[in-house]
This record gives sequence, C-alpha cells and structure tokens, in this order.
Amino acid sequence: MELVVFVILAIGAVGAAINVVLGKSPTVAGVNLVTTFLCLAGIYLLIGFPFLAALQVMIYAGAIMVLILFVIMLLDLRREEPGLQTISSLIGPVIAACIAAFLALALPDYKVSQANLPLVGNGQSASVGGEGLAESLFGTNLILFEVSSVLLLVGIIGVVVLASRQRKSQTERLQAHLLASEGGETR
Amino acid sequence: MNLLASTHVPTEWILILAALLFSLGTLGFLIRRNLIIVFMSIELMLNATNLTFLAAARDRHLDPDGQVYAIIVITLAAVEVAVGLALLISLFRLKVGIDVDDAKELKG
Amino acid sequence: MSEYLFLIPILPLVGAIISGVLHGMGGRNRNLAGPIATLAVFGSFVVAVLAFLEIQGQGHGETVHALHGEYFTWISIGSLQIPFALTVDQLSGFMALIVTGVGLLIHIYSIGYMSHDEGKARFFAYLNLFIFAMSLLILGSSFVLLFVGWEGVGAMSYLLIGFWYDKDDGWPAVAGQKAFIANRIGDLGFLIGMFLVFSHFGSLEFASIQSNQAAMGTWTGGLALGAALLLFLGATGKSAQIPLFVWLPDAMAGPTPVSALIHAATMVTAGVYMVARASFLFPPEALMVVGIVGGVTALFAGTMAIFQRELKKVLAYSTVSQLGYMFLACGAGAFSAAIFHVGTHAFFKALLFLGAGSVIHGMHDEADCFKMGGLRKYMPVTFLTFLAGCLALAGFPFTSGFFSKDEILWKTVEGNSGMAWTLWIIGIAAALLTAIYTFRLFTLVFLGKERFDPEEVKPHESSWIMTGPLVVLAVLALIGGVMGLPAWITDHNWIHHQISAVTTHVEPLGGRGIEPVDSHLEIWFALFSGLLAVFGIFVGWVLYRKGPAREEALAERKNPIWVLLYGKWFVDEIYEFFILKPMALLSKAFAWFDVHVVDGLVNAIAKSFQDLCSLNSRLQDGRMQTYALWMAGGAALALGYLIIQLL
Repeated sequence: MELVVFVILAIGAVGAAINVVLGKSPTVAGVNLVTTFLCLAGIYLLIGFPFLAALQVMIYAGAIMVLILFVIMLLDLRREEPGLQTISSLIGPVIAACIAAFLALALPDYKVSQANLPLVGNGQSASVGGEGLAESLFGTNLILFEVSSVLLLVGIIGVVVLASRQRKSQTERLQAHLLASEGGETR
Repeated sequence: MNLLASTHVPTEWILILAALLFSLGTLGFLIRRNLIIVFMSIELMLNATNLTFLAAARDRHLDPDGQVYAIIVITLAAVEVAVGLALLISLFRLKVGIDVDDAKELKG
Repeated sequence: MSEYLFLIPILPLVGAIISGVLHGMGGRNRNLAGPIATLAVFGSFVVAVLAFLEIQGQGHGETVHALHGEYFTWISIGSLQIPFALTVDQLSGFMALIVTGVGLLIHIYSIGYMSHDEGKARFFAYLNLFIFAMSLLILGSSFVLLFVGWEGVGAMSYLLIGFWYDKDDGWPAVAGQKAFIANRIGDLGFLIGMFLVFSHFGSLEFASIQSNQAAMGTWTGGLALGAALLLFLGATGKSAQIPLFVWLPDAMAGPTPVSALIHAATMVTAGVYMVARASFLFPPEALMVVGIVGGVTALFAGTMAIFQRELKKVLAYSTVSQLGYMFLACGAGAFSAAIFHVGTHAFFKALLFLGAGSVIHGMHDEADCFKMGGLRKYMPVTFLTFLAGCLALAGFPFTSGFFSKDEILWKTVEGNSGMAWTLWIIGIAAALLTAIYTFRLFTLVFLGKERFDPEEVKPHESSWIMTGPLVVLAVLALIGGVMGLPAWITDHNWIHHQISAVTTHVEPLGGRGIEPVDSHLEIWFALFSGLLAVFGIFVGWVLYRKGPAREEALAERKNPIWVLLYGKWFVDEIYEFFILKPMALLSKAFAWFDVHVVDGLVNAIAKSFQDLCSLNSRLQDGRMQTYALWMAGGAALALGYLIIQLL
C-alpha cells in the first residue's frame, strides 16, 4: 500500500521537476516546483519524519517559493526567448547524464553504519519526535545550529545591503559603468 | 512510536528518486539561461540531497541527526534564495538583464 | 702595544666615515673633513711610531722583532684559516712610518689644495680610506689581508684618479678605469700565485709559510718559479712596471695630492713591499727576472720622460723609472736597498709632486712647462723645495736619493757577473737620463725668462698650509740619507740592519762561484755615479736655460727620435691595437650571446608561462554558465572517481 503511495508521489515529483527544468515560462516553473516540494513532503511523511514534512511545506513551499514567485511577478519576467545554442546546452546534458549514471552505479554499494541509539519495540529509536530532535539539535549538533543562525543573520544583513535603495547618483554611475564596459562586447 | 514509519518502501527506490531529482536539477542549472529557473534548479538539487539524508537516517533507526541535517539544509536554502534574489533585483534595477550572459563583470 | 695595532688602519677608517657623513651634510660642514681626516692619520702615525720604537727596544741583532696583534678569526674553512692579524716587524713598521708620515704631510697639504673644491669632504674620505687599505696591506700578516689591502688601494686609486669625473669630458673617469683594469690583470696573476702558494704550503700566513721547513725544501722548480712570477705580475700592475705601467701617466688626471700620495710615495711601492715580504718564496731565477724587468723599465721610462711637456707627466714617468730601480735592487737580493729607496723616493717624489701642484695651482691650472719659466721670482719657497727634490731625484751627492740609488747600483754590480754588469750599465744610463730630464724640468719651470704674460697669469706662492709640508719633505729629502749610509762611510747601515733581518739572503746577481767586486771599490762607484749626476744636471740646465726653443725645433721637424720618445714608444697604441680591439670584439660577441641566447632563453621561458596564463584567463569569460559547467564537470569527475574506486 505504502509502496503505491510512494510511487505516485515519486512520479508526481519527477514530472513536476521535468517541467521546471524544461518549461518555458517562469511562473509555470514556479508552480511546478511547489508541486515537487509538496510531493516530497508527502514522501518525508511516509518515511517517518513528520516534523520535517511540516517544515518542508512551511518553509520551502510557503516561504521560499512565495518569495520566488513574488520576485517573478515583481520583475514581470516573461517567457524565456529561445536563445543561441551555447556550449552549455550541449555539454550540460552530458554532465547531468554522467552524474545520474555514477549515482546509479553507486547504488548497489549503499550501506549505512548503525548508530548507537536506544531502540524500542519495532526497531525504531526510542527517542523520536520532539525529544529526539531536540536532543540532537541542541546537543550533538549545537555548533551546527549556532553557526546556521549566524549564517541567517549574515544573510539578512547582506540582503538588506544589497537591495537597499541607492542614491540616484550612485545608481546612475554604476549603470553607466556597467553599460560602458559592455559597449564593445557582442551579446 | 512512529506509526507512519513505513518499512515497506525499499531504500533503493528512494535513492533512485533522489538521484533522478538531483540530475534533473543539474541539467536545469547548466542548460537554462533564465536566472530564476537556475535558482529553482538549485532548490531541486538541495531537496534531492535532503531526501538522501532522510533515507539514510531511516535506515539508522530514524536517527534524529538526519533530521537535523535536513533542517540545516533547508535553512541554508532559505538564506541562499534570499541573497540570490536580492542580487537579482539589484541587477534588474541597474537595467542589466536577467539573462545569464548579461552579468559578465567577473570576466578576466 | 700589540693590542693597539688595529688603530693604525681603524683610525683612518673612522675618519673616512665621518668625512663621508660630512660630505652628505653639505655646506660648511664639509670644511671639517680635512682637519678630522688629518687628525686620524696623525693618530695612525703616532701608533706606528710607538710600535716601531717598541720593536727597536726589543734588542738589536739580526733576528726579526715583531709585534703581532691577532684580533679575530676571519675565515675558517677547513684547512684554510685566516685570522685578522696585523704584524709590525722591521719591514712593515718602516713602511708604516713612511705611509702614515708622508700621508700625514699630504693630508695637511690637501687641506689647502682642496680648499676651493666642493667635493673636499669626499676627497678626504677617499684619502683616509686609502690609508686604511694601505695599512692593511703592509701590516697584514697573511697574503689574504695583504690582498685585501691591495684591492682596497686599487679601488681608492680608481676613485681618486676619477675624482673630478665630470671634467674634460669624463677623461679622469676613463683614466681611473684604465688604472683599475691594468691593476686587475696584475691581480689575476697575484691570485693565481697565491693559490699556488696555498696549495703547496696549506697556509697563507707569512709566518707559518716561512717556518714550514719541510714545504720550503720542496718549493722548487716550475712551481716556485711560476708562483713567484705570477706574484710579480701583480707587482708590475700595482707598481707600474713593464708591461702594466701604462696606467700611471694617465693617472695624473687626478688631483695632485693623489698623485703625490698614491702614485709616488705609497701605493706604487706596494709591489716592492710585497716582493720584499715574500722574498723567501722567490727562487733565484725569479729574482733575476724581477731585476731585469726593473732595470729595463727604469731605462725605458726614463726615455719617455725626457720630452714630456706636462709637469706631472714627467714626474709620472720618473716614478715608473724609479720603481724600476727598486725592483732592480730586489732582483739583486738587496731588499734593504730597495726599501731604502722606497723611503727616499717617498720623500723626494712626494715633494716634487706637491711642488708641482703648488706650481700648477699658482699658475692657475697651467701644466705645460713650456709655458712657464722664471717662476723662482714668484714662488720662492716652492722654488727652493722643488730644487731640493730635484737634487735628490737626480742623485746629487749626499742627498738621500744619492745614497739610496747608489746602494742599489752597488748591489747590482757587486755580483760581478755578466748580468750584473749589464744591469749596472742600464742603471747608470737611466740615472744619467734621470738627472737630465729632472733638471730640464726644473730649468724650464723656475729659471730663465718668463714665457707667459705675468700680468695676465699672475702666478703666486701658495699658502703656508701647502708650503709647510713642502719644507718638511725637502729637509727629509736632503738629509734622509742618514738612514742608510753606505759602507764607505760607516759600518752601521741602519736600514740594512732593519730590513735584512726580515728578508731572505740571496746571492747577488750572477749566482755562486763568482768573486764579488771588492768592497773597497764601492766608494769609486759612488764617486762615478755622483759625478754622472752632476754632469747630467749640468747638461739639463745648459740645454734648457734659454728656453725650450731647441726642443720645439726638434718637434717641428718631426725628428724621429723625438717622435718616438714623445709618443712614449707608442706603447698605448700597440696595446690598443693588439689587445684592446680584439678584446672589444670578443666582448661584443659575448654580449650578443648574452642578450640573444641566454636572455632569449629566460625570456622564452617567461613568455611560455605568460602564454599559458593568458590561455587560462581566456577560460574566465565572466559568464556564469561557463563557471557552472566547470563546477558541475569537476563534481562529476570527482564523483566518477569515487564510484570507480568502489567498483
């Protein structure tokens, strides 16, 4: 039964992903990405991490995608024009295929070391859910936690600086500089 | 006890899914010329890695460390998106386009 | 006292540094350099006197008395141990007295001579550095220290010859270069000789070499001869003998005190000192060569002096000639006679040069003796002191020059062999020439009628600071002979006792088996050379007392003898053609090679790197996709590598 659910969710995720990657319109791509996230959230739930499933929906689908779609709307991005055939469009697929192949090749050798966790009944760890998570987050991985919070802070400051409205003269100067340096180059 | 922890889904299948998603993400990252779509491909890749982490954690008897890593990855993704979009907006404001070829300042 | 020996070189070194600083400070500060430098040399002189007195006090006798100051180990590489050590024995002590004493007088003179020159502080710095190097040369207890001083005086000579480097289109600088290069050739010989000595004796310290009986015993044949001749080659460079004398006449481009100190009294005698010091290393054949070269040079240079017009050039050739006498003495084994002549020559030649400087200064930089005449009215002190110097140079009886030259001639002929007599005749001829050209010069400059317009030129006597040293030197030139009174006057020849304690005893020219000339005949030889000197003086005076008209006529008619002698036997031209031009061509070839091949190789390597890098930079096209491609590609590769390993 779970298998079927899983397969459905998987196909959904992959299909939406393909649309994201190969689709033309950014808006459509954005919506497809949301779909992928939701499918993935379902899979997380299936696997046994409900908290993470909730987080996935809230943050990814709820915050990040909203932000992206907001920017898309703000900047009024249109369909992507079909452009020149660049080197990337030739080699890109090759590299991606290679990566896929390598990952596939590695699959049979997948093994996982066992943790020393107190077990309970049906083979699950005793402290799962909130307690276990809390212990892990604020105990073993405290530094990780603190560092990521600093990272968030830095990110916020960076964003504020980057997006702050510059004085008109500065903007004009920057513009002039950028356009001038592109003067002699071909597009 | 987590009733939803299904053990019927073989881990291999999950990993295959993750690999597929990751490859798709890479493809998009390399091929597309619209920066927004490139961002979205990056998000795809990040999610694939999250999935991998969780699959492994499930095999380790639902190791909470796996969750923690996934949470951190999500945090990172959030920050990255924010900064990236801020850059995008700046680029746009300076009347430089969104095309990947337009931001060539680092040439040299 | 031995601990204080280092003061002799160090005080002038300090003086030089202070003078250098004063030069840098500029303005009125530069006036202080002269007195300070003079004071430094005075200090050295005092120490030298004290040291010399102390070794005298160590008793009489024919042994070496020495003060030895060892300060620190300078070089220590395996078996080569060179301590920085100074030795004052009779030989080096005497030389030190001459160097610092005459040097002191010349410093005093220079204060007056250079008083109007902007670069006076630099001058005194160089002069003091010279005294420093010279004292290292004579006091050094090893070949190495001697060589350090040797090079040092060469460098200072170069700097001082080219002191007025922007005069005359840079000619003084060229003259300095000529001096340096000629010296360098000699130095090559010196170095190789030193290497040979070291390879045989395992040490370069004079004391240890001399006391190494075993090695001295095997010091024969080609090795010894070769080494000695190579060392002598160095001496011909430094002391301006054939074949390397060509730099000395051109060195007159430097200020007169320089000519007096370096090119008359001290530096040029370094070669003689070296031969005396290393005399124990010279086999008889080598000494024979030394003697022959010396004698021939004496005559050769004398012929060149006779038709020169520039005051200082005459004196320069005269110096070459007199140096030849010193080497002649060495060749005859009469090292004490050679050193005696070093001393007396220092007195009268320095005197003559300083006097010439006074004349040139008073004649407002006129140096052509044809344009002088009758100067005795205008410069009485210079006139009298110059006369004293000329008398000594010519060998007028009972002057210092007479005694020293006579001693040399006697020792030359004493051997009584064919070689001895030949060299004696050459020496006598040179002496005659010396007397003639000396008094030709004197007559043309000081006697007769003025050949210039006194209203226009207004010659004047120099100040007391310049004439004072002249007087002192004049007195020494006249009475200095008491240092080495010959056997027919007294039994006690002071300088002979001093120097022969240190140097080797050698058979007089001609070797063993020949009966030496009867020593009672010495006085007759002396009489002969004294009369010859007077005769030469008379000839010089008579021929020129009415002016140079006769000589000018010779010049006009391009008389072949005149052409040859005035053209200095065309030695410079011969060198230029046969040696310098080929060398220049060779240098050009090497330069081409250096620029195109060596540099070319280096540049090619650099360029290849540059090209590589520009290739690299073309990869950085600024486009995000390219970078993304590379990143992904790299990641794929890494992944692939890991995976392959697993399989």
